This record gives sequence, C-alpha cells and structure tokens, in this order.
Amino acid sequence: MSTRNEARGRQQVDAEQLRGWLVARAARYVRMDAADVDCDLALSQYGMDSVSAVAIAVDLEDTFGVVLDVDTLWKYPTVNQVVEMLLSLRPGVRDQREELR
Amino acid sequence: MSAATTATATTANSVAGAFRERVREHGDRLAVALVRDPDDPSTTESWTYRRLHDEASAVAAHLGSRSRPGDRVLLTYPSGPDFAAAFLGCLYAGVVAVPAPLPVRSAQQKRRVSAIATDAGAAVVLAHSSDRDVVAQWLSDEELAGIVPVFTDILPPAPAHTPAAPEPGPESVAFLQYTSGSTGDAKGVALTHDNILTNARILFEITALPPAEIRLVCWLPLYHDMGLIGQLLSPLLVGGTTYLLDPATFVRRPYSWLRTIDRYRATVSAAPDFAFGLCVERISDEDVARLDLSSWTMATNGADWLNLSTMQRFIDRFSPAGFRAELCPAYGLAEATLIVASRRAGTLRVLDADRGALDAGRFEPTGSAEAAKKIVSCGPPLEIDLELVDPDTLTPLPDHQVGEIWLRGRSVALGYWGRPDQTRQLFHATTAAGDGPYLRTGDLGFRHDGELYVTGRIKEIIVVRGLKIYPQDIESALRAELPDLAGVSAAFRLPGADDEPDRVVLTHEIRQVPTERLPELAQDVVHLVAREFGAQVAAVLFLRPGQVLRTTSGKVKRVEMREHFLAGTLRPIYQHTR
Repeated sequence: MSTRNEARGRQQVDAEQLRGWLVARAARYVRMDAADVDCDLALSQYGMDSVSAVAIAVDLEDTFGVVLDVDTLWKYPTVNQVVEMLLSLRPGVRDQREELR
Repeated sequence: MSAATTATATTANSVAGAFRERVREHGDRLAVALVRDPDDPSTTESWTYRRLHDEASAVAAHLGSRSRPGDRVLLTYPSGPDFAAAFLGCLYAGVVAVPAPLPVRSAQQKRRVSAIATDAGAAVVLAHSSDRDVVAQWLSDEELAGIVPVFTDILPPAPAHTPAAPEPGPESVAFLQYTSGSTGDAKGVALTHDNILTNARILFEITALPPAEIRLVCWLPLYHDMGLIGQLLSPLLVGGTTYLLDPATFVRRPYSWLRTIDRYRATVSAAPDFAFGLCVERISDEDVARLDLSSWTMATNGADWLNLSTMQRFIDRFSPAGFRAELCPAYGLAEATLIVASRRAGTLRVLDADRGALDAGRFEPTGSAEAAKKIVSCGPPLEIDLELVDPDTLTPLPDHQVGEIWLRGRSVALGYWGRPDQTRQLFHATTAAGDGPYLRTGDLGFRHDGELYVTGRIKEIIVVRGLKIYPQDIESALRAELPDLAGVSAAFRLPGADDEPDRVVLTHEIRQVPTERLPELAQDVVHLVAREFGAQVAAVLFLRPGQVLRTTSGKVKRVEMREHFLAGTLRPIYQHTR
C-alpha cells in the first residue's frame, strides 16, 4: 500500500516537473511569460509555428532520451497533452528525472 | 573575378551542354553530397561529376524510350544527389523537369503537388524508391491514375551508345519553377536555357572565386528557386561543389548548417533571414565554441526582408567562431530566374529614410532616429534593365520615388506555363509611353545612387520565412477543414512593423453558428493556419453574411477588407485578436 502511494507520489512530482519544464521551454520559443501559459490551451494560440514546434520536440528528445515524431506538437497540442503522452512512456522519462532538476 | 570567369567560359547553349563540359573538364571532382550528420562524415553520400553524369544518363535513357522531348515530368524528391541526377536526366532527354515537394505531411502540401502535376500536364513522376509508398498513396488519394511513377535510383545504367537528344535552342524551355500562384491557380514559371545560363553566370561572378573553391552548403528545399538555381544548379554549371542538408535537419538543429560549412570548408551559403536568427537563438555556447567558420566568404540573405538586428546578433555571436563572411543582401524572384540585384560587402549599406516621406511614396534622408525607417540596399541591378514605375499611371519614376519594380533582360522568364493571358499581363507590360516589354514584379522600391532599395509589395501574398503564402490557399483550407466555416472568407496580410514578419488577418462570414462556439472556432483557425502554413494570425473576425466585400463577379476584395480592418470600420459578431 505504502509502496503504491509512494509510486503515485513520485508520478505526481514527475508530471509537475515535466509541466514546468515544458511551459518554460515553450514560453521561451514563443517569447512570452511562462506564468501566462494555460496548460490546456493549444500552444499554437501563443504563436507556436512549424519551426518552434520542431524546436520543442527536439528539446524534449534531448532532455528525455525519447524519439518523437516531428508532428508531436501538432498531435499533442497542449502542454498537458504532451505531459500525458510523455508519462505514458514513463520508464524512459523517469530515468531522466535528474535532468529536470 | 575576370580570371575566374574566363577559366570556365562556357560555349554551351544549353544547361545540359554546360554541365557535360564540366564533366569532361573534371569528372573526378565532387559535384554534390548529401550530409546526413556533419559530426559523422561517414554518413555523407558524395557523388563526383562523373557519377552524377552516369546517373543522369540512366534517367535520360529511360525517359528517352518513354517520353517525347518537351513532355513535362514531375520530380518529387527529398534533398539529395538523386534529385540532381533526375533533374539533369530530364535535361539530357530534352523533357521539361517540374520540381515539386514530396506529397507528404500536410493536406495542403499534397494538394499543392497535385495542382502542380495537373497544371504542368505531367504524365510521369520521378522519385526515389524509398518514397514508393508515399508516391503510390498520393497518386491513389488524389485520383491521379494517369501519372506513371518511375523510381530513378533503381534504373539500369544507360546503354553504352544512347543516342543524345537533339540540342535544344537557348530560348526553349528547360524547366518549370512552381513557386508562384495559389494552389487553386498554380503557375509554373517557364525558364529557358538562356535564363539559367545567364543567371548562373551572374551568381558565379558575385562569388569571385575560382570554380574549384566554390563549395556551397544548401539546406533550402530544392523545389525552391533559391535552393535549386542558386545553390545546386549554378555551382554544377560552373564546376563547384554543393553540400546538401535536408531542410528538416537544419530546422531540427540549426547547428547542422554551420557545422557543415565548417566541416567541408564551405565558402558560400545563402538563406532567408529567419535562418540567421535561428542560429543565434538555438545554437548552444558549447557548440559555438566548437565551430570554425573562417572558410565562409559569402553569406547571402535573400527571399525575405533582411532584419538588421538579426544580422548584427549573428555577427556578434559567431565572430568568435571565425565568422567573417561578406554579407550579401539580394533581391530576386522566380519570374526573373532568381537573382535581380545584389550587393556584396563587409558592411551593409543602410539608409535612414523618413517614414512620412516614404509613406507618401518617396525617399528622403532623415537625421532623426525617431522618424527614420532603416532600409537595406540590395545593390545594383545585375545585367538587367530595372525601372521603378508608377503602378497606376505606368510612368517610369526618377530616383528616390517609390514605384513598382519592372524588369527587362535575359534573366526574365518566358512566362507562365500554359497561361497566355497572365503572361501578357505580367511579363509583357508596357509603360504609358509604350516602352516594353517589362516584367511587373508586384514589388515596390526606389533607386538611390544606382542601387535598389525594396520597400514593400503590391501583390497580395504573405511571405513567411522566405516562402510565399497565398491568401486564397488559407481561405480554401479553412473551408475544407472547418465545417462551420463554409462561408465567404477574405484573408489578408498585415505587414509587420519594421523588420517583423508578415501576419495574417482572417475575416470570415458566419451562418448559423451558435455565438458561444465562436471563441473556440477562432482558436481552431489560429491553430490550422499555424499548422498548415506556419503563419501567425493577428486577428480573426467573424462577420455577418454579406460583410466580406466582393466585386460584382464575386471576387473577394482583400485590399479593401484590410483598409476597413485598419480603420476599425468592420463590425464583427466576434473578434479574436492576438
């Protein structure tokens, strides 16, 4: 029981850290304040275009050691959708947790 | 420069003839290479002039038995030597090459390739066998069953004694460049052998390098004139070497562009303005420290507005890495083959133009930083008659007056393929005094001290990262993809302030869509335009039926809609502004 709770707690942290990282990265590419990014709104609304979508995907690849399609940010257009998708690849993402710190 | 020029004084009257001369002169020289990873040169695929000639001959032998001279053949390839072989193979066989993007990714891109194939009347598509499925899928989806695919990388070598196609005349069509016109009205610029040989020679003279030292790096798509003519064909015709990168390789890691220049000691490379900005923003300090850009002598910035602050940031960032190339702003267009004017120097020539005077149609220098708009010289016109003409009265204007750029000379193309009316209108224009024929470019500028300064454009196109986007394509994509947007639509360009890129405004008539759905619908519009066209939307306005202005024949009046938008006189049901 406690192991499960612990595991759930860790997943929670992962999701929050991932979200924070992604918001900061996306905000940088679309030149806005990270605090203004709504995680349930498509990043295209903030000015993400084909070039910055690729840049974000490449940064995700580099940081989390995953291989992503160039269309990733169009298939998962909001921050929360990307986080969910990455967590579904969780073992790979978890291995890279230190990168988030 | 003249010594270098005479070293390769070409006697050929055709593009294929000029290339064959180079093969005879230095068959073992590297002609074209595809760089997959500049940090791992073992993955680079390199072809000599001889190999490229042999592969082109194989393509020509195949086409010779199945096509007639003058037939149009579509080429859909990723960047690489196979594209070069297919292109030259078409010229060897005397058929008209029609380069196009691969029909992949977006629905918009597939529609575009289909429109090109149909307009050109292509009966054959050449491709690489690794794209077999992509091509088959496209042909079946778009119901283009009449087009036969041929995979050129798996053709047998040409028989030893293949009869050569008859040498074409210098005024015959060499290939069609489809970068003009919306998808619904795709227009192929018909380029003659003389157009290409002339433009290649001009480009060669600007580089001021002996052929053996012309080493280019090109990541621009090869279906784009700045990639194909500027960075692949021209060097091949004078004896240089081109290192190709896939455009996606550059966009994923801008470092790959500069690293390829470094690794292969390249001397020349050209790109639109945004590419220099991406390098500044996305190359890490560690990577900058690893670069040696000292071999790069000429950096051309073309196809879009040159952003002075971007160039300054690029110089600041990469000088420590040995960047000392001369900057070469350029003006050109596919309708004039590629290059029209260019100026090469260590520093850019910049005028401080009074904004008020400029808005009134003339250049006046100003000492006030506040009133000044900085305009970069594109240099003198190169072997072409250039007039600035009042687009309403058709009268040529004196120096310092802003007018439409009109051109006459050997670089001006024959016209648009199969479109005599539009060709007459744009390529055979005459001034009020009856002087002509001139090509009307739709671009605006003025002349000062013998050099061209481009200030804007009349034509209704949106330029994003050097690529032209037609408002008609955005309007029809919205209608096709969003069922609520079946009504009349006008998309128009909102010119960016100073050096900022163009943005798009959409005005769309709405019927029977619940008001509460409109905010979401506006977001869908922004998303779709970003995804399919890569353009930024400045505003979406939903209007009542009849509010999008059109002519009596039903054509939407985009210019008038922009004026109303800027004046704030539209009364939208809902407006979304970014």
